[in-house]
Amino acid sequence: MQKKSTFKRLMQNQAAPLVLILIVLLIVTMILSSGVTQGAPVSAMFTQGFMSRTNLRNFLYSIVIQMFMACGIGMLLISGNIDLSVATQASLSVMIFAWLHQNTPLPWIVCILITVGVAICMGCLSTFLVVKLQFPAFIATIGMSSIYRGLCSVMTNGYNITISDGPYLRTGRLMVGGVVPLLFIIALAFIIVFQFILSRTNFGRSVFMTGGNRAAARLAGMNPNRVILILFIISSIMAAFGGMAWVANIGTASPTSIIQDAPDMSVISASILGGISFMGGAGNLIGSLIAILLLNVLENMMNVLGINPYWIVFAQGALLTLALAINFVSEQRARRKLLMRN
Amino acid sequence: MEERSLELRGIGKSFPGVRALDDINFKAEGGKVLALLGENGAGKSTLLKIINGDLHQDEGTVLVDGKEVNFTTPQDAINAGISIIYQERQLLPFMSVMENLFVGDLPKNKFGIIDKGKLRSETQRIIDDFGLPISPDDMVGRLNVAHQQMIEIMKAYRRDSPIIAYDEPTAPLTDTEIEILFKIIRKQKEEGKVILYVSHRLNEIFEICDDIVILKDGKYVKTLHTETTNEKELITAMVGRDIGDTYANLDRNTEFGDVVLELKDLKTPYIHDINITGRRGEIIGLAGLVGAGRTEIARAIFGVDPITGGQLIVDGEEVHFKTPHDAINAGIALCPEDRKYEGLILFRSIKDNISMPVLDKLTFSRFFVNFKAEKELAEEAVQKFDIKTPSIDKVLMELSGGNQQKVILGRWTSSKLTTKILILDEPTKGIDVGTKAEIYQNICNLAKDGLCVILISSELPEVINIADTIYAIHNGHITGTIKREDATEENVLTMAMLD
Ligand SMILES: Nc1ncnc2c1ncn2[C@@H]1O[C@H](COP(=O)(O)OP(=O)(O)OP(=O)(O)O)[C@@H](O)[C@H]1O
Ligand SMILES: [Mg+2]
Repeated sequence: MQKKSTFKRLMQNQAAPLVLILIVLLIVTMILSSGVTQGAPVSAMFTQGFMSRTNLRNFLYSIVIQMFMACGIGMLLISGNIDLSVATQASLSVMIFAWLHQNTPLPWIVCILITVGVAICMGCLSTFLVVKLQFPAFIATIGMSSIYRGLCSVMTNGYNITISDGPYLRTGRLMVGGVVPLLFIIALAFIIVFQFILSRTNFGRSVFMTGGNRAAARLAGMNPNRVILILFIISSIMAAFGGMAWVANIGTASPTSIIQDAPDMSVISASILGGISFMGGAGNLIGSLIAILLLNVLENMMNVLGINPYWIVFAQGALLTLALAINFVSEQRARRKLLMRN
Repeated sequence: MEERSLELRGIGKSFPGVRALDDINFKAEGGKVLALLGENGAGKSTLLKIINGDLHQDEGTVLVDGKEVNFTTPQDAINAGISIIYQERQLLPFMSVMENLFVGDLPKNKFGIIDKGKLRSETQRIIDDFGLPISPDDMVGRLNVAHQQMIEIMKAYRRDSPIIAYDEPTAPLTDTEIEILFKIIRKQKEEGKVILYVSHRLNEIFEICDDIVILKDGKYVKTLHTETTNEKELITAMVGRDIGDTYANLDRNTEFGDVVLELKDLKTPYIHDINITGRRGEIIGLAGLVGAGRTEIARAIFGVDPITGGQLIVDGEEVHFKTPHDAINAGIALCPEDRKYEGLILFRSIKDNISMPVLDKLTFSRFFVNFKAEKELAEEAVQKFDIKTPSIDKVLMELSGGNQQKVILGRWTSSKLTTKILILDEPTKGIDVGTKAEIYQNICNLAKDGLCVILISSELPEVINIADTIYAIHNGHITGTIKREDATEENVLTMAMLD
């Protein structure tokens, strides 16, 4: 067997084409948004438009919630499950947190802990439906999602809760080096830690094995049900974190805004685009992160170009469909080969 | 009737790191059954996949009836009259027998709606030809593996293709179904069809085949004729050496220790009043027909099926396992019969598959996988069972069937498992004759190390020649017990048919 060149090997990495597209998109966006095409000096690329402090900060803030969610959703997908209630869970968590923060004298840390406690219950509930009652994860979590959405509105009769200025908002808005939100760094740390867990620990291995073949994993002494429980709980906690990060940035908890923004859909697209198999058993979170950056830079670029926001939604939908199609075709091919194996 | 033929000229095929086939030439003629024989990984399945367009050869040509063909998908091959029965089933488990048989080709009435009546009657006709106790409306997933395999065979039978290739069709079958299959093959042969037949069971090859093409390491060795050859010559040609009398040469364990396993009137929904005693160093054989309840006994011991009555005693203490994990911790290992659905994670590497049950023993601070120890464990298994692979990182789906089976044996006999009781359910399924001998010796060695081994096999000679004590199972009951010295195929079979 001949040795492949380093370049070839790099290109065979599933994330490689994504990184390339991301870099190209980034450069195009930087050029278009900074007015270089209208005669501004080339150096403006790095200081104006997309790269301006405000825009960069807003951009990073806007993807924090997706990054949190990508941890839970990504690992659930790898284990052969899915959680479609993540956005509504985030929404409900936010409402609970905001209510506690505004209406009780509890310190903000305690409010966060209580919210996380509620999230853990939501994760257990999903697991109960999926593992004990054996509902397909897809159906169980869609059902739960409408319940959570209803609860969100019921809590405040549909009104928003504004978070009063205080240590919570101040901490949530801390910047590192002037442009990078602390929350972004926290989210990044979560992705890296979870990726480490996935690839290096025996728990991570059992996530892959559960997704690869649940029955076989069980017969080999692993505990797929416990894996699924832990993953649903992680997913719910990450949703709550994402929601609370969102509120720290916006300053107002609304029962509908997260749901309307549908960050979970972007995250599912990004996960698939980033190489997580829709049928479970394969993938990694770094790919999801790159895909999240890609999708959001794309959105930013279309905004700069003044494209109708509806088209942006359309473009994202098209990308998801494309990613799914590619994933599906290659999976099908692999599965077919597998079926033919002897 | 025109003469049918299938000819291969100079076929070559490479996979990353493996030369699977190299300059293969032979011709199969209508009205004859041609066997393909070779060790695990010799390239038999790859060859069949090239013939039916599932893979494309790197070099060479395939000729059907003297004309060159170039298929790009298996559907092309089906249209051109080539059907292959893969060993791994490709059925739709939630569909009925008739829907599975006619999938892709359902009979329609003049409104374009599926003609259920015709579908049912055609299916019934095929079932009658086979003489099997199933009905067109049975859900396939509910049938036992042997009957599922027969459905796979019926699918090809229904298409009435002039060229049919069987890839280890009998691996999940028992004698009853094998007899039916041979009746069908003889009929197809009389009709002048070209038949290719892959199997590791030499007695079948002598019974049903006319010519034998021997492959070794992807190369054509020679063609022998069943009339003029014998087992010894076949094995020497395929393994490259004489392996002698497998059973007589076994170095067995003769000393049994204390009782480690006791089943007392054990009941689950599938088995009734099972009494078995196993001592250290003893090999217990479970003989019976498919569906007799042998696998179900294994599942009860391993904590898979719920125990509804009686006692399970391990090392003198009554145990109640809730999950296989509990059973593994108590020193029990089960190598399952269905490697594809219950055993392997096909998309993961050899290393990952082997370390599964002992992963928590291969860690730093209980949490982080010790990749070096894991690698050593996998390499140990690759050596012990001579698994043909360029590396332990190869994913399972790229291994040949027999090598996949060796991976699963490697998993359950690894040195990190503290096994006291090892249950092997059809351990030699799809394994070539040469390796089989080694596996038998391996089983005996495990017994020498003090393990109590429970051996389940549909190959009767295997059970009665390796096990020290043989239990005949029928309908979920034990119908007889016999020592190896007294066991013959006839008396064990008679007991296994008793009610
Ligand atoms: N898709 C694949 N990718 C890489 N290697 C493959 C692939 N399919 C088969 N091989 C390799 O090709 C060789 C021949 O495999 P093949 O399945 O044809 O063997 P076989 O003769 O059918 O063996 P067995 O008796 O075990 O079924 C093996 O070394 C196998 O690992
Ligand atoms: Mg094969």
